[in-house]
Amino acid sequence: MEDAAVERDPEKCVAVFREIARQYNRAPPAFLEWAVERLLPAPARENVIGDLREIYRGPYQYLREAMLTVPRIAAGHVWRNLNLPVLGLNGALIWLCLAGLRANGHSPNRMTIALAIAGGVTALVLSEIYGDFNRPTAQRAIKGAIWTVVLVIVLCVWNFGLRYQRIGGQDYLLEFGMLQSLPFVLPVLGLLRTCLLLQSDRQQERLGGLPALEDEHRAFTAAVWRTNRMEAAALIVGAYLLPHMAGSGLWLPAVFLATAAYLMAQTLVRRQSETGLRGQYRRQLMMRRQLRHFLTWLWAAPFLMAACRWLIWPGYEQGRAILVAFGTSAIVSICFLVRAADSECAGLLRERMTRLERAG
Amino acid sequence: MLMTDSNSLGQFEQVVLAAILSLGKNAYGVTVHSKVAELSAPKSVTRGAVYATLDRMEDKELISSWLSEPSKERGGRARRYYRLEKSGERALRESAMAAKRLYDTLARSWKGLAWKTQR
Repeated sequence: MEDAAVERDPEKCVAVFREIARQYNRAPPAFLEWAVERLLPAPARENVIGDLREIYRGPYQYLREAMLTVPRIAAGHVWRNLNLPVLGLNGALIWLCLAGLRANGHSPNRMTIALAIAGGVTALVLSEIYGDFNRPTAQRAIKGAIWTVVLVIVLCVWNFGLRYQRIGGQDYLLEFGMLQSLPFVLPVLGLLRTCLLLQSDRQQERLGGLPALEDEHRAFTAAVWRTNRMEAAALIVGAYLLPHMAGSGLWLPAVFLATAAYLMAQTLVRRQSETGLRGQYRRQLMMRRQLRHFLTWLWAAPFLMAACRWLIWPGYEQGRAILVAFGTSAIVSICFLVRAADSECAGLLRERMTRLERAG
Repeated sequence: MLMTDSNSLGQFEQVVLAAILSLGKNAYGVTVHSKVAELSAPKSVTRGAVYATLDRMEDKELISSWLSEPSKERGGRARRYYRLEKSGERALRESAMAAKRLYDTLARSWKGLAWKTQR
């Protein structure tokens, strides 16, 4: 009866269609969905947010479902991504930085050091599951270079400023000259960043040509085996040279040697079945990303320590702001380049992982 | 690191594997949760527990997953479909046989044991 009435009455017919369209277009509030998406680990975002939207009945139901879902998924991903040897090495590196501070008169107490290590390691674990490891666009990369130069200028002016120096003195003139020349550093940083982007693009094109999963995995394991041995050898040489060059104690060489041992011991066994291979490859890529992240910063550590030891601390002790300014600029620039190299490498690995997931 | 020994399958894992098996090609987050909830009744099951178990079983290589094409009704998001792998099927079969042996033993001891659930 009702159906017949709807057929006869165009207005009722329109109302029915509107109701159907409303049901079909029901979606959670944009802000709520955005917030839940941010709380979900990056690899689970797409499918879980889609599932939650599919079962959406109202904001409260959505919120309740999200609260019951997100913590379990996050905890699961933390557990899956846990790479204890690399985390341990990262913790050692953080401890080394803080021990370095203590050696130079700034003595943070043990509790502060323990809290800093715990905080640093926790931040690393969280960045692993929440981090966006995609390669940056050219626009974002150039913006990064601009912000680096701005940061260096601000640091030079604000922290180690001209106020400590006699106007017209040698250091004053040097720092003044340095501040004036800093904007010209921008094209150099931009160029270096662009080179990194182009190199990654070329690498990606080369990888894209590989035909099958098995071939790709074979090439990956061979490259990892080769790189690990070369890098381990370089780390051993570095551990020998470090006390002479960066003036570090024995702890940084010890971390270098421990890392070399870890790299030599790492073996990538290949599964027989394709499914096993895919899952294993995905995990190996993830662990590789974590290891590369650590290694990039480990290689930068002697340079950062040298900048502290030879420029910043003597600058403070002798009251020469120019040394401090040079040291700080060096540190910010090194950090920029290391971060750029790290994000390119992580982005490439992430793209491979995404391709594997799509190819299931 | 890998665990393909079926003895280590938990009860909840068995239920999730059974759900994926029964759903066939339509096994993704929403449908798997519904099926698991149906199989676990009257106990309630959270969606988070299902996702965490699916991830864990994927690590154990009992199941595999892939992303579908994004769809409009999901706000342009893809579905993650799951399927049982050979090792998963084997593990599930062994678990079912163990359950059957347990049932047979109980049926012999308690005469007249029937498939009745207490409400």
